[in-house]
Amino acid sequence: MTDERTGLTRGNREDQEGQMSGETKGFAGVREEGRAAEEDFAGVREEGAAAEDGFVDVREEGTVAAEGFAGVREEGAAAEDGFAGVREEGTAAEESVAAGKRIPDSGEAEAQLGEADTWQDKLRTLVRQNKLAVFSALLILLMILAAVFAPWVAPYDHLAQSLTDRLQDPSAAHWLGTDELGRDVLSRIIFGARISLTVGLLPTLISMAIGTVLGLCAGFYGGKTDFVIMRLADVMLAFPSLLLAMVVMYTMGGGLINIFIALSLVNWAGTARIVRSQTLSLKEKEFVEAARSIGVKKWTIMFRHILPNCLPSLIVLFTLNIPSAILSEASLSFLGIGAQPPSASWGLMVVRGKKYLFSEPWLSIAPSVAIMLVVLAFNFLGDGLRDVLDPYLKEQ
Amino acid sequence: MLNRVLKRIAISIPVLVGVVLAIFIMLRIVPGNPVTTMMGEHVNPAVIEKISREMGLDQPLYVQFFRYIANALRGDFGTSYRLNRNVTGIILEAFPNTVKLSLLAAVIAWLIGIVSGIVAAIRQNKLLDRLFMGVSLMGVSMPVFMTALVLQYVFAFKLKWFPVSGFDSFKAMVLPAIALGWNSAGSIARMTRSNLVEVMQNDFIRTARAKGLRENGVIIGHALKNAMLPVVTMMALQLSSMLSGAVLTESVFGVPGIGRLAVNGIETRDMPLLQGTVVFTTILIILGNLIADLLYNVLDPRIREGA
Amino acid sequence: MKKKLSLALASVMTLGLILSGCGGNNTSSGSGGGDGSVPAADDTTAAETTASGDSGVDTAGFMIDVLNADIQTADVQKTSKDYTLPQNIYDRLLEIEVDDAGVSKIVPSLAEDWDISADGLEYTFHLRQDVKFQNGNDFTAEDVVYTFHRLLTVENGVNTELLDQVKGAAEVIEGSADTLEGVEMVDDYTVKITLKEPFAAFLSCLTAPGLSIYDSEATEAAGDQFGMDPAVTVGTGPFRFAGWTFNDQLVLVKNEDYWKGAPELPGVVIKIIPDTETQTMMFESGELDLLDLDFVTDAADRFLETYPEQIVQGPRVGITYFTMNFNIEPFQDLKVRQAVQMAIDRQAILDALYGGRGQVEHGIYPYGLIGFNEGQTKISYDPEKAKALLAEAGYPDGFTMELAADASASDTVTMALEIIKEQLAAVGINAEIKNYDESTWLETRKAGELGSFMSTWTADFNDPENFIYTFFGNEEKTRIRSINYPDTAVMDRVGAARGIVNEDERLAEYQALEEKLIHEDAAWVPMYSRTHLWAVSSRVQNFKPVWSGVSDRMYYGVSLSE
Repeated sequence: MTDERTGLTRGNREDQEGQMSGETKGFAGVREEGRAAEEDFAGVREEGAAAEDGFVDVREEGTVAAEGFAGVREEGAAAEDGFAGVREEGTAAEESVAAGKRIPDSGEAEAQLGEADTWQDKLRTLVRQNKLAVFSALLILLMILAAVFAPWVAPYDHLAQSLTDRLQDPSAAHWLGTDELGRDVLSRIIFGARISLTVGLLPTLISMAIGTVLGLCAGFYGGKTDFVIMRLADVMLAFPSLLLAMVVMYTMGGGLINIFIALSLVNWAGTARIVRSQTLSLKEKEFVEAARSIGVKKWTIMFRHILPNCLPSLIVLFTLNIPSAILSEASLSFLGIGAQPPSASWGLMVVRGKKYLFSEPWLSIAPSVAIMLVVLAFNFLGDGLRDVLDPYLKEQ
Repeated sequence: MLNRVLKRIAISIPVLVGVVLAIFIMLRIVPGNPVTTMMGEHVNPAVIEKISREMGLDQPLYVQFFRYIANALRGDFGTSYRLNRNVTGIILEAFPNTVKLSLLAAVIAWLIGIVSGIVAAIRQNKLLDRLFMGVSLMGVSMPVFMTALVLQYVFAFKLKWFPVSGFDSFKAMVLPAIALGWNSAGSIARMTRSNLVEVMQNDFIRTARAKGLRENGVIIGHALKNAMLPVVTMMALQLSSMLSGAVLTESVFGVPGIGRLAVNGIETRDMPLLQGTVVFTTILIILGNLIADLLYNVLDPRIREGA
Repeated sequence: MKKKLSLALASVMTLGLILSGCGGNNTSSGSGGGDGSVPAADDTTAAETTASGDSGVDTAGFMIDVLNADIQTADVQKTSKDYTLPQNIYDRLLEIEVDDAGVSKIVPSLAEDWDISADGLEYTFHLRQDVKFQNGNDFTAEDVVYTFHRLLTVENGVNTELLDQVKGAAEVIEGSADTLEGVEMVDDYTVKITLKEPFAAFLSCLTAPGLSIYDSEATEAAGDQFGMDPAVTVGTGPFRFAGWTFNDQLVLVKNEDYWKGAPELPGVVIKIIPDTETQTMMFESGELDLLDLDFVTDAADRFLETYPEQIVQGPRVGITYFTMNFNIEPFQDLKVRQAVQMAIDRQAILDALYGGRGQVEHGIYPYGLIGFNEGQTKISYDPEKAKALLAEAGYPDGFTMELAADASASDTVTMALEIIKEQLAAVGINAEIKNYDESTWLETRKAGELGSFMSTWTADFNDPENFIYTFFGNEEKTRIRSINYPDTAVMDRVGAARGIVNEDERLAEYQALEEKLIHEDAAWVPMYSRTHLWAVSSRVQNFKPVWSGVSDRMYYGVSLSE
């Protein structure tokens, strides 16, 4: 599959030549820094990714660092050159497909191919082309901010009961009314964002970290390691995720921490598969061969050379996995084995509010809408990111 | 061909054993004697010991495991703690309902998903794209039980087009199936859309267009055919998420299916029932995967057998 | 090498499938092997699957009722909560009848008359001679002897306590005696029951659903399928157990030959619907005739407004209580327990969660129970005094405690705990809700290790004994339900009170004990008793809530208008 795509790119080689050397330096720099500081490359990358145009920053940082290690750099220069070259080619290929596939009318596509190859450019493409994704990103940001600053944002204490004010209609004082114990629903939703977003982010992060490491190992080492890990992944993928989470909750009992554990355990296999397949193709690339030939350690190759190339896929996957974690929490709450009162996850609020569906429908509808918005936002953002970042995932 | 099939089946076997093993271990790290748990408060310790012995719980774990596998191969998933009935019997009684629900839901998911996907692809990045994708994604973005409840409220309770609950007539099955199917439609729509978009960039489509075929003809005739192949593999994935969703849909609509059994298993801490249900469901999914793979082979002989 | 292994595995699997009886199902090369395993399981277990699914009964015209969760069994000797079926398919020696004023009395049923010896030890029951089981067998004294013996010896039996005052019961339970000494068949229609010591509540006890009478012949033949397979589960009651589709519905059909006269209802279908909102919508769409509003409290308020004439209510003779662990600091301190009693605003909880339907309780015996004492000491809500008491006890800044929640309890119970948490916080006590799944909660409670909990006890039969003995009868009982209340002298008195033959003396002693336990010792916080509300469809006539048991209902006497 990748071969076909490479074929499409021949035309843009030229456009990229100019950037190549800078790219090389930058990448080498990061490597050096990582080696010297014993810092996990993935970590640096991840941080970078969080800041929207982070990758560029990392590279710049890397360049600065690299200068200090000029001597060491000499050694690996050959390898790095090769690496950068291939990487450029790969990126361009991906990009052309991504860009091309998004524009049915050919004229615009050609115009894009030339420029859309750095991270900045990709994001620029995203911003220009997919307003929905941008809006989604802003919405998510807003929710995260609201969650972080909940005590300041929320109009009331989300736990403060007032039995005389229970089940009030929405009003100026309580924009979304009050719940069955007289607590302000809006405040509970704002505080609930803390739990629901954490449930979305944390287990997804953990499960993807597990999946990434296992996928890298499977793809890179091959043979028995691969067989064992992938059969394990097959086993995990065979389970319907909700049922598996139910089994974990049966064993460990309800509660938030256990939800984190259950969801982390359940969802790593998909990531492992994707990372493995990318590793398989990447490890045949010249830059890896080159690195290997000069005796770079396996772990170094895996984490500093292969992993960064998987990152676009991982970011997209991350964005698309979050909604399912949030929904799983809601489902587990519905079954009575999710978040436990008085903590207010959105899922639990829906379940509790559902009791009053006929008399005070907003009690369940408000948190449902919150869930729907955040899930849609992550989906749209993920789709948008996928379109510009990553061609691999289309098949998943 | 036969070789390939056999090989594919052979690959499923360790997965199958792994699944049973995984569930078996996970359920047995529960602290405490399951018999105490199942018997409640007023029971003599001697009775507990006797029942533990009868259930083979005094044996080492690996003996229990092989016994479970051996029994499972004979179709025996043990006896439910709470119901004092054979788990297999209970599952098979509930199974047809879940099958009906899932099949109908699948049809609905495909209808919503593929139609939305095609429209979205044709009108890519236009309003209709967003609209159709939005509708099909809405099913994924609401908790299934809430979707179910809203459908029930609007179409059964208010409009009275369907009964509120039950599963004894086709009419009664429609709402549960929509609730469940809508939930899966989003990913089908998304995949159809992106495949179509991609296929439409291919040379042969450009050629077809150049030859002056009308746009709709191009899409339906050429693109869709090529785009649907990967969507077929999604069947298996859909099966898995559908059976997850069934747990919730069945609870809301009161459908006596296997999803309810899993919930019963959790609520009453009936380990054999939960274990049997999860193992059974998982076997279904593995079989579904197997069939989807083989189907893929049949549909596309070019496909290279993966490692 | 790997290929061979795979092949071998494949053949093993195939062999397994063939052995399990599905060889013939391999139709296509693609899916045959896989598909086969499903029917395979079917073949081997069809014989073992006994619970009949569809009864084949035409249920048109039946009354439709609903339950939240399916029953475990219709064998009432093996369940302490699924009383709906036993109430309707079996009879007991005696029954409870509640008149319109809410006064209950014991009335004859399968026993038409009885004599009690002067020492209160020997009970002689004269049985009805015109009663037949639903399978046509005659009901005789032998069936009573058989039923009581089975209660003590049946595997997984849970109701042995109902007979533990009968002479020789302990020996039968332990296995040192084969026959139950205290239950004798005098002739075909006379049974003599001898107690090991006087037990004033014994007649009430015989009305408990757990002491339903079985057919010795049919029950013995049914073995462990009794209560599971409708076909073999017979009683003398007004309805016959006709069908059970697990998680779907239970079907009862009227017993034409019922000795009190055939019921007016042709039958009852009991739907199993876990979701309460679905239940509500079903009721309002006319898919249900009967709805227990206990679990749909939201609907209760609305229904009372919308269809006031379709709401039937009756007292629920049960007490909700809150109890603290005497082994955990600082609950040994009387002042602390009194402070907790005063810190909880019970009326506010009752109003908020149950629309005020019910009444705040101050003792052990709830409203509607024999022994209920209108004039007892009251516990008042007084957070200021509670704070003062805490300060006196040396906890001016409060302390931290656990509120143990049973995750399987209804949402309103959890909400009540949330309110209690807030109310305790108001006097400085930091109460943390800890959630347990049902069985862990029960087990931890059994071990006396919950920090505190709230629960409801509903009468099995109408006698204060059923309450105070359950809570304070002996050390084991107090460990479970009154978490480690330590005063064994009081427990001895509670035990001794069971044997007081003079009714007035006995009730006086029970009320004295209530005063001591709740008001002197502040052993627990009595919360409230609730009114039991039902919604009935407009065609349902004469439905009366049965007051005992958890949420059982009696269909006999009910009819449907056209």
